[in-house]
Amino acid sequence: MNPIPVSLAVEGPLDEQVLRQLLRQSGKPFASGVCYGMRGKDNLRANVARFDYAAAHVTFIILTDLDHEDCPPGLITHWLPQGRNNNLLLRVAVREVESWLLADRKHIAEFLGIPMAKIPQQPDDCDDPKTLLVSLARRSNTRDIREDLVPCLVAPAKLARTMLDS
Amino acid sequence: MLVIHLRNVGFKEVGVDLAERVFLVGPNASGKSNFLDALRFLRDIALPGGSLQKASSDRSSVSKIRCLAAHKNSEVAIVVELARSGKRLWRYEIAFIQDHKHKPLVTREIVHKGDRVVIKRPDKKDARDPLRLSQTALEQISENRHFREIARFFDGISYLHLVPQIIRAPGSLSENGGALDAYGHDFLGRVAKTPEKTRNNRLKRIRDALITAIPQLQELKLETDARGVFHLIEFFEQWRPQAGKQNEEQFSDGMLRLLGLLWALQEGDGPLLLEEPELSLHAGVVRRLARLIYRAQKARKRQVLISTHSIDLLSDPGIGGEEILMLNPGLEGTKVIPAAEIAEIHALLEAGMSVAEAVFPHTEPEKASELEQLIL
Repeated sequence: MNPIPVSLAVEGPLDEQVLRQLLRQSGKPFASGVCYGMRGKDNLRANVARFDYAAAHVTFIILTDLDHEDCPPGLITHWLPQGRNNNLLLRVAVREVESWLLADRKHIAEFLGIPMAKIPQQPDDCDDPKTLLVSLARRSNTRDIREDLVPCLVAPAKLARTMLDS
Repeated sequence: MLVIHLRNVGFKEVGVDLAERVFLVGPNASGKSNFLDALRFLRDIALPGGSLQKASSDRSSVSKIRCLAAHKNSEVAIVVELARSGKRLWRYEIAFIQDHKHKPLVTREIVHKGDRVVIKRPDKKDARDPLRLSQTALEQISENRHFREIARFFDGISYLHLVPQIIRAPGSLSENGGALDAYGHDFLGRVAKTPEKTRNNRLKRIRDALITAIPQLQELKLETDARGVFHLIEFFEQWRPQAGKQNEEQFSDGMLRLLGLLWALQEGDGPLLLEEPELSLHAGVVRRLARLIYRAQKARKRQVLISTHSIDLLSDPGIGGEEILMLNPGLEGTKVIPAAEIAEIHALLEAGMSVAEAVFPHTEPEKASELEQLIL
């Protein structure tokens, strides 16, 4: 089967890496291509109708954080009140993409070098997963993890790649 | 309007129509400068005292000009068409190889006026005297009589890639005239040679434009020092009297580049090639460059080709997809694609996205995100 080209649109580099990995591991013949956005949530929101319009030509997957909004379906109707093209998927991480990383408790614990018991059982209930991730990493017994903390905050893509590749 | 076809000039095969204003975007080393250089190459043949031999030796040799991806085919070809409102007026084709002494040798030189062939080489004279093939007809006044319009057009091409350090200390570099000109080697000389009235008008317009970027600027003029050397002098508003007088050696990089850009926009009416005009400039100024360039070229009806890496420069909503050429390097050499030809980009632009947001993701090198992981 020919790979299906997919264009992505995300808030930032961490989201890009997560989305690309998800597509790679999905077992579906997706070929993830160009990634738009990378300028935060407001920018995605401002452009979502444009991606929907362009979805007539290529499949789009948009990934955004729910943050403190009420619920994902609400966000989707709010962003695309006129409905959406069938070729456009808007996916919402509850609360943040970081929650998804925390959900893989075993691997994130291994990666961060901390006991698995420190990782919450229900990352979806965590109010601020980004901050939680950083505070967990700060307690790591691996020097690289601790010292890479600050650079990772600046460039979260590095965190994503190192983690997902390991 | 220019239509340009290139083969083996850093590209295996490229053919594109150029809009009145063209932005070349692409990763580093994708061939943006090579693209502009193909036009400079023609200029270097056509300008007074120019020649194929010199244009080629200025670039070391033919083999350096050739596309890296072109292994077998060693012939370099440049075809340029001059058109007005879709109608072809002229077509100039030059192709050459290098001989065993690494000197260029014309293999083809064909000129069309409309559909009529004006000159077609090699001809009988070339067959009798093969040495003639070391020169183009374009560079010879006696030979280009019937297509001088093209020669003048190529001669009118100007290229700008100002290097502030060179403007400040032109004497520090050898007198290699033409080639260095673009970097500002003789910038002050050119300003000085301009008739006084024109010069003052231009400087005044530059001052008016610069004031928006540099509010404390009061006046800009050309002065001669005791040794007869020209200097650009700017007067600043400052709390210390007399302290606000500076010459070009004290200008900031950004000030010098902006000044050179504003001067070049007013000088000549042939195509203007600008290499990364955004360098050293404040983002707020860069965001206004596209419009500034547009206004200047419109007044003079000249074509402007701009290579850029700047998202700020391309964030101007007035830039259309048809003005963007994307250079995408691949194993088979760089491909040049008009952004508007990609349906996805076309739709995003149609829906109101800025060129910067719609096009840049397509030009980012695949592995760019790994850069921050490098341990140096």
